[in-house]
Amino acid sequence: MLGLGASYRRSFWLSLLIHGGVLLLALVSLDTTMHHAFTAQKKPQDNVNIVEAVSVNQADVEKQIQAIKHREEQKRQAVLAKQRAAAKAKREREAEIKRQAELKKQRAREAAARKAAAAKAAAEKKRLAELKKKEEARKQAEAEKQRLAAQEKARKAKAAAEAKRKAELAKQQEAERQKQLAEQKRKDELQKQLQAQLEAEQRARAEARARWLNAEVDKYKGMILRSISQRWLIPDRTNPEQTVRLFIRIGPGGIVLDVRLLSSSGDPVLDRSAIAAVYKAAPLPVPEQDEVFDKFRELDLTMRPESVMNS
Amino acid sequence: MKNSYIVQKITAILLLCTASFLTVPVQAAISLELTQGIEAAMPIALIPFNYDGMGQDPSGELMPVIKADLQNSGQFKFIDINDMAKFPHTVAEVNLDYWRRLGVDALVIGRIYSSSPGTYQVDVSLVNAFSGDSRFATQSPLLFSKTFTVSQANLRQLAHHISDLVYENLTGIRGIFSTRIAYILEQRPAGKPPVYKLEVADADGYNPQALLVSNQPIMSPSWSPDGKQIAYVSFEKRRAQIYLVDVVTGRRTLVASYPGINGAPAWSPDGKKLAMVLSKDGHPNIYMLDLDTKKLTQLTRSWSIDTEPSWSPDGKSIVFTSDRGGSPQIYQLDVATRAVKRLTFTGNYNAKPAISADGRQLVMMHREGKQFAVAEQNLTNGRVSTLTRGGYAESPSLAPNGTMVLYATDQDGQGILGMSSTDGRVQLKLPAREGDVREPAWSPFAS
Repeated sequence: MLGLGASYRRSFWLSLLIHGGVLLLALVSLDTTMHHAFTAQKKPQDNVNIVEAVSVNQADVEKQIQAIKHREEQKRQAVLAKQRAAAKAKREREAEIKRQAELKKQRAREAAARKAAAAKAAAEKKRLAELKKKEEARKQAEAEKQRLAAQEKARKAKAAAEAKRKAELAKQQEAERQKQLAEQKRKDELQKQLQAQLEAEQRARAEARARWLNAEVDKYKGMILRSISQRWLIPDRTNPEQTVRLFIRIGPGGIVLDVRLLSSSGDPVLDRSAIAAVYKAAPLPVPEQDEVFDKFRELDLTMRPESVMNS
Repeated sequence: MKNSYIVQKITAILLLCTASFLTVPVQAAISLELTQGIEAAMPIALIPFNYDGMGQDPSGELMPVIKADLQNSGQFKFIDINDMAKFPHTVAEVNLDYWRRLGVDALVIGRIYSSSPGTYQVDVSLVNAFSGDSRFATQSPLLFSKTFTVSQANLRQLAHHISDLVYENLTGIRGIFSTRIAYILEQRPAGKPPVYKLEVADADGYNPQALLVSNQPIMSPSWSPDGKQIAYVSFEKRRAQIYLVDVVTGRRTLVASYPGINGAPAWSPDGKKLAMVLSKDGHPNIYMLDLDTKKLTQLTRSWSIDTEPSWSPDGKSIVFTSDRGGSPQIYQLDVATRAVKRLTFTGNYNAKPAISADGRQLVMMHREGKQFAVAEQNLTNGRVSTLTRGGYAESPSLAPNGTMVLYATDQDGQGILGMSSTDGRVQLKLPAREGDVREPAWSPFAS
């Protein structure tokens, strides 16, 4: 529907209207028609009597006719009476009506007057009532005002009190909270301190262990070096700047599993002396604890004949 | 999926293990540095050679010579034969672990065969006890293995040669056991005039052979660089003269007979020149004689006594003794520029200089108090160390490998030769001769 142009919409509503109108019209006309038919059926109600054809005696008939004429006369008379009565009634009625009308007028005037008076009274009453009401209202308003004021005051007071109480409470709570916070803080601090202490202790232990480990490593390094040094026969006439580099593999207990030349000094006699020194020093002094010993499984030893201890 | 993941992991681990076994994982190794060792005699074992042949076992002539040579060098100490329980003769028979436990660095082993009397075949091997773990045998422990055929007469010479081989292999320095020494022997037979001999003997003093005999003094023997001639001073004509004598043939050549002093001949390292002391121009000065052209060049001109010239190994300078500074001290002359500089500043008397073959040491006669000794001065830092202990010592002569010094000393009034190692470890005395031994001169390497 959205995409349809305004003209389409207009046509639609128009067609609807037209159809609706036609429909309505049809219904109404139908109804009227029906209504007409209905009323037409109503009118001939008086002439409903069914006439029956029978064989009759003349006398009877004459009787009958006389009866009927009598009746007819009676009827006429009745009718006339009725008409007279009716006319009388009508005149009476009319008079009545007139009287009634007059009465009515009178009454109406009275009523009007009454009404006016009433209205006036009512108005007065109303005015009084209004006034009263106003007064009332004013009083009420006043009272209300006062009441409100009082209420307000009370409310304020209450509020104030409340506020105060609340403030107090809040203060208390605050204090409480602060206290708790402080407490918590203190606890936290304590916790932190403990934690820090714990960590510091752990660190210290770890450091101490590391230091011990290093010390052990250094100690054994020194022992190994001394052990090899004491057995290293430095050949005569070696250049003290020549360097031999050995790779040493050590097994548990310090046994020398393998000694390999990583770099030669260039002098085979010096190289041999270095290798021999390592083998002679076996089993090398190594730590017993696995943790420390593991570091000594492989050694990269540089040997340089800088100085000699005479033995 | 999961299975293949596990398989992958296991494979990776196995590969890693294999790889680490094959390579040398130096990253994981602790680094160490060692800069000190010991200076000590190397313990070695000389296992008696096995003899298979007729006649007397010649090892009695071989083994003691080898042992004495190596022991006297000061570089080796032998384990007692009584401590040995194994006697291998070939490399295959050597149980390295046993010898290591015994504390031996190397073994000299061998066999001798004799197929005909007087001729021997000698197999000798040198085994390194620390060549590698005997279980893994990374390298062969054999340092050398040689076979020689030798006659009875040359057994001693062979022994010296074996000593040279062992020494060189274990120290890296050329051995001097096959070198010789020359010296003056003065004999005074009772009631007879003195006899002077120029003798040449083995380096251990054995087999002395008289090269010259004279009833007039002989002095200052000096070996030519090729070891074939000796220059010396003779007074046979009642005056000093310098002769050259062929060591093999004994033939002599007169090279200097100038007025006055003709003394202290010294060969240049190329063998073409002879430095000497002549006083023909008034004072004892150093001269240089070209042996081909016979041209004489004066090198020092001083009013003092300049004597005892000795060439530096590169032939560019001459060290000599001079008293120009008041007392005898050692000076160095640049042959090309004639510039002279003083070398010794310690002690009150320094004489008879000689520079070692590596040019680092100056060996000399040295006196600090009253006693003469043989000393060595480090030419780099000037430090002087005494090589001889107790007793008088003079006329030092350096071995061609610079490890030993031969000198003249006395024992109970008799002139004998002494030998010291330049590291101070050994002090020996050569067997005394009949008479007084003086002025030793150590031959060069046999060429």
